[in-house]
Amino acid sequence: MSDYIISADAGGTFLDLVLVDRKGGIAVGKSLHTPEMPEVGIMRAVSIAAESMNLAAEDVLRNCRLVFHGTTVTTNGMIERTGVRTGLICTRGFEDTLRIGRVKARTEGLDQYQITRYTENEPPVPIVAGTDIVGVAERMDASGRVVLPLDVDALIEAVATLRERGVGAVVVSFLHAYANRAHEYEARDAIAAAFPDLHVVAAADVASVLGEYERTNTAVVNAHLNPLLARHLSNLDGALEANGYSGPVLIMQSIGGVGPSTKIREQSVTTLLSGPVGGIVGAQQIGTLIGERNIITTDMGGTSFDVGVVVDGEPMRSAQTVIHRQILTVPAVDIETIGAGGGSAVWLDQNRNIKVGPRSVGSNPGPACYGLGGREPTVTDADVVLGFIDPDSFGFTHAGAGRAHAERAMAETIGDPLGLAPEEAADAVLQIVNNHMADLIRKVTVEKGHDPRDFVILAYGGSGPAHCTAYGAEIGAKKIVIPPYASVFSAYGIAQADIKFSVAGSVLQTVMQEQPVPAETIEAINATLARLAAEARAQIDAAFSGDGQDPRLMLSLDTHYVGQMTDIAVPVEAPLPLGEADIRKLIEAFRAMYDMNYGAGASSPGSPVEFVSARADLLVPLDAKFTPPRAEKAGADPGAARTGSRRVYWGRGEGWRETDIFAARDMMAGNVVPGPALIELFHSTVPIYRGQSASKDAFGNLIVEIEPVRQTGEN
Amino acid sequence: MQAQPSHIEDAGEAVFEPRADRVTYEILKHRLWQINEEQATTIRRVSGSPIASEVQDYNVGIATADGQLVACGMSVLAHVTALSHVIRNCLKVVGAPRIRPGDMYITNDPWMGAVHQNDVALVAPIHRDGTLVAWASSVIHHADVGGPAPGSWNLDAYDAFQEAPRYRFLRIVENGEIANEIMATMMTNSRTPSLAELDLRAQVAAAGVVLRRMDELYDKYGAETVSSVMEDCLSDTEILLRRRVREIPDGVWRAEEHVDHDGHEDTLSTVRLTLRKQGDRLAFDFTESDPQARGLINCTRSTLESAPLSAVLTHLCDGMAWNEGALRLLDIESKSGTVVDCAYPAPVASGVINAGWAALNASAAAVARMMLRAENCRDKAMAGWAGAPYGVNVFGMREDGRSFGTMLGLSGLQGGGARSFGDGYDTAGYLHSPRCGAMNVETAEARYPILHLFRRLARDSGGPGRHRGGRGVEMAFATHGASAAEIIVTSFGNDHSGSPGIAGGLPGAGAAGAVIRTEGTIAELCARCTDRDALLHAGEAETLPAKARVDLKPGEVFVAVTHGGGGFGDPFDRAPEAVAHDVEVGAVDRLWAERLYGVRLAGDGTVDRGATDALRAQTRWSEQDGIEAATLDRTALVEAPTCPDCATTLSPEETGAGPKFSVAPLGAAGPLVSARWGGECPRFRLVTAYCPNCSHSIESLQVRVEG
Repeated sequence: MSDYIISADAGGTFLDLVLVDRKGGIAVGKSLHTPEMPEVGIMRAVSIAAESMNLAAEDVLRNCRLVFHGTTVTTNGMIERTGVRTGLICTRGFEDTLRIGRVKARTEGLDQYQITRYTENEPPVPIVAGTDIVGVAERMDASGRVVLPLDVDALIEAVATLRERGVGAVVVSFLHAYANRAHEYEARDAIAAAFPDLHVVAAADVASVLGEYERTNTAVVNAHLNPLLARHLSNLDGALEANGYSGPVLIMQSIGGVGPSTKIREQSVTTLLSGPVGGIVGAQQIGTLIGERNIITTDMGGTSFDVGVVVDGEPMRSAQTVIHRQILTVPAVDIETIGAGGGSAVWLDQNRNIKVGPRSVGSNPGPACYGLGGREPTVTDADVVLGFIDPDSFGFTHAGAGRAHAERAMAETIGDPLGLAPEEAADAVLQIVNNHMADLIRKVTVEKGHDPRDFVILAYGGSGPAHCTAYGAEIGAKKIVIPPYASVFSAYGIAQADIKFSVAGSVLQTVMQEQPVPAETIEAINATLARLAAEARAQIDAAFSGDGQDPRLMLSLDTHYVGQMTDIAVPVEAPLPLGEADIRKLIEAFRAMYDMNYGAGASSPGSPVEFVSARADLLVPLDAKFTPPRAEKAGADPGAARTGSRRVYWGRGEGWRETDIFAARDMMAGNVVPGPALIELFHSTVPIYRGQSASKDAFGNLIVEIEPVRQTGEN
Repeated sequence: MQAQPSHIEDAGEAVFEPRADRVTYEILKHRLWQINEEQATTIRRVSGSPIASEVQDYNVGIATADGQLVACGMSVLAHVTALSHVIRNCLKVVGAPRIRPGDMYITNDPWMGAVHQNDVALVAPIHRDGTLVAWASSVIHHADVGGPAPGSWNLDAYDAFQEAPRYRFLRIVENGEIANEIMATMMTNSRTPSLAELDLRAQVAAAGVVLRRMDELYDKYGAETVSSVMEDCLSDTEILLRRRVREIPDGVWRAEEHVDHDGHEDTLSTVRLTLRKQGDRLAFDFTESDPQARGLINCTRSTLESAPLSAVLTHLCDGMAWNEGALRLLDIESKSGTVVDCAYPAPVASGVINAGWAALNASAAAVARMMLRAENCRDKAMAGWAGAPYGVNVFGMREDGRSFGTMLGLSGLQGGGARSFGDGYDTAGYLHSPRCGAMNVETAEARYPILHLFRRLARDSGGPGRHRGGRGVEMAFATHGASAAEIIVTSFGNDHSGSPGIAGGLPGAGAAGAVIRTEGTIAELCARCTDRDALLHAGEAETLPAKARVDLKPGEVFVAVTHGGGGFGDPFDRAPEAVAHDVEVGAVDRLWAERLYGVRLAGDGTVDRGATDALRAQTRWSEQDGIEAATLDRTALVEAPTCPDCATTLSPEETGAGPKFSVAPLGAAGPLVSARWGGECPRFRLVTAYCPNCSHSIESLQVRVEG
């Protein structure tokens, strides 16, 4: 009898684990993350969570149906370059493609100020050393015709040299292989035959779209990281099995769906956002429960503020992403980030302008309020000075000491030079950082044609609750939702995911809007769609057929006006093979989506339309999802949840004010807390401003209804 | 509108005090920047041109009502640093009362502030309650804006009338609607009409975004507050920069840069700059520059102004918000009728990438040498970046009868200048375009009927120095599936290198281009011609001058080398192990490691210590050279009062022992400098000054010796 689901999310410091029983009851296990042996931390957290249900780890694992896992093994491996030494075989004459990096690879992912520091903008260290790259004679043209056959003898000689150098994996990446993989396959097979011990991969099998830099880079990152992920997953499988678990391990992918560990260990490059996307998937699920289909997710931790967007029930995603300064052709849920977290340093520039971040003070000595020797004020210190956060809850200081440290740091660095009292300085800092966060939210919504006022904000992460009611008001969001388990929300979200696979291929067919569509164009589009559909289905057959329902296949065509570099993914809804009328409908849909993105009338009726690439997404819904139990509604009076009061500075207009404090866990569904008030969560506090009110819904979410109560910048 | 703040006289005591409170100031400053970024994103998405979206040859800005640039996009700086000219001229030409809400204007006229005819500037006035309060603006390099030559660089032009048509503030949007007749005019005058349409629509959409966002800001904060923040952003940067400049010792620095070929003939035009730094002001004097040329290389005064401004932003404004506040410290002098300030109607079609770029190189060189003398920014001095653009317009007919055309932007594929503490970046992009990009080979081949034989980092292209300059590329392509094609090349730095070294470092590779005529099929070319050397021997090679227009027939291959970055410090100070590594990875040829770095390698690639020590101990100058050097204009060489390495006094008056000199052909700096002359361009000599005491090279310059 399968009674439990486990979801483990590895973070920077902690391993967060959620254990769910059949009735939807949740136990949380947190253990220190053990990056060297992540499975150790996971097993420890299983025990902690099981214990809180008065069970032994083995009891839980023996009766566990699914284990979900978000991993940081690949992310850390990429940052530290600790994967296998990887060699690259490419088309002769183009050995420097990765180093040239389309020029832009050097500055990709840098912000406006970093980019002005010319002498400091080193390019990222290449995944493959220049000496481990060898060009061989071969050439395809853009239509996939062979111009020059592959020189197999030279190839074998080159690989022999690479192996002597100590290369453990080889990627074959040839020009225009997205149009014809024959040479890549020929090379791969020849290498495999000559060097059976060497891991060899055709780049077009990892990413099959036009653009040799991005395609090659994606393939080498994948090859570099695969052994790291495989080792971790075998160890995890072993540890789980030893404790009685016999089901599948499902790994979160950047695309927002899970894949079975047996399959994912060959696709490590798809797991680089494994942890962060969990929260967005969780948001999707909560949205379904509470009837909200448009959600902005905000995750504010110690060092950064991450934003994702769910539109009409689906997370926004891109076919290409920049992860840790690497440009990768891997579909991923969009996550935008800025260096604004609780630990972000607060400072004055030479003109005495107040600056927040992007540098973080880290965890040792950490914010001044920790009392561990930190003298620099941080965003968390501002929260402490204003009374929003109780520094004693961090457990580092005696009563009152943390607050004194925070005040002194705020006064020395900001208050005294500007002639402001510590609370005025802290309030200024808060307004600035909250506005920076609101600016990022605007960027991810308005740039894609969405109005943030049509969205609810879901706030989690250690510092999210303390700021969401301010940046939420600033952007005019409908309301703010703070889920239970906000501090382990990614782990919660990962367990909500379905199985997903995504494969893409180039199409490159142009259609004149006012002329008939040639039969060969239709044929080419159909051929690619059919091939990708089959490839996607094969992933599932090979991988997993256990718990899932019937797989759902979704096809789409990335489309643009000829010449444009940014595509719009137009869903293919008609059954294959498509006819001319279906193609026309696709173009109409493209123009409608184009106008939505860029404003009515932006589309050009005369310009030729190009179908650039096709994508097949396969989704296997998992039955395993649990629904949190629905609580009975109580009265509006939150009096029973009141735990006391403290002085809070609510800005210049309101000033200091003795403010009631409520404990979120003691609030009953239906309780309403009017602002100004504080609601305390585990390790965090939500300030409810005047004019706002917070209630608890039947699923344990805090719902803050907001009006823009405070004109930011008004003093 | 609030009154504009007067220039601050003494920044040492100036205190920045925004008129809005500091919180509002910081919030709005951040938002203005973000709105401008959104404008840039819109351009990249909507434009149909790889020139904008892949090569990033575009830029965006937001300006005050009187045209001062407040938010500067991070693409090509020259596009928006001249924005104030565009806006002032728009007010003058259209007439302020006729500039109405909902209008947008386009101009590509270099006498109106556009940088050349291809760079179409769109400006959109922003009104609040009927009053003009700000401007949104963008510039895209359009692939073709008409005129006699494909790609709109007419090498044969003697005046601007023989170039692409110039437009003075056509009202492309009137009362919020696109003026179809203007769009149709722009399209019919372009050889690439659908690109022209998508580019213009991108610019209109981008300005529309700014209009909407600014409206939201005015609703919330009021126009007066927003305008005061825009003004204060300028003072903010101005004060920060003044403080930095004051700490630099006063002095005079000279720099020269040269443009070879004026489109008609293989001339040489020199841009001469004297930089005088006094207190917190920087005076850039270009008045000694050569007279304007007969062909398209001239730039107008507005383009010239972007050169010192770009040099100052990129060298001295790290960590600051880039805007026109920096311009307030600069005095820029020029003389009408010179190559950097040409008189109407001189031809100007590629002025921004010739005289304008040369003015930037000279400005950057002078500023960098000034920084070497300053405690507060010495470590940030850099050698010359990306010496010259390499514009290749390819136009023709496909085998199926359709026409094609584009600019293949190679300019980003150039080396960065070496730094005081590290090598320059390979394929760094160019100095005045922080977010530069380059096309994938596959993208170019999927779009246009060409096939590349190679595109790789060029050996020996990084300028030698204690820290080596970044590498440029060598690349070659033939047509593939075209029935006819021609290429129009616009570059300079084919005689010398536009990327000078600094502090004794040598220049990086110069540019070189050639067409090789073979009988080979494309398969044979792919098989045989796998690098530039092989290609040059594969058939009859026609070496191209800096400007050229040639057909490219089947069997013919175009090959080019782009500039590397300049070197920093004496190459003999480079660690021998670093040189050995350069040789191993193919950055430096073994033979040139000996000649340039004084490093000999053993057969296994390790350093031969004894031989290396002997090479490095040789005398590097001769008295004869000293006599020759004395006859050359080497004013820039004797700036250093003492040797930076051993502090020996170098002034001959004081000690009688001035610096020693060597004089050599430019090829002494490496195989890719002056490559088209086999290293022996008669117009230049490489003059290097050495400390007589410690033998270190102090400064190495390419000096013009004739014509």
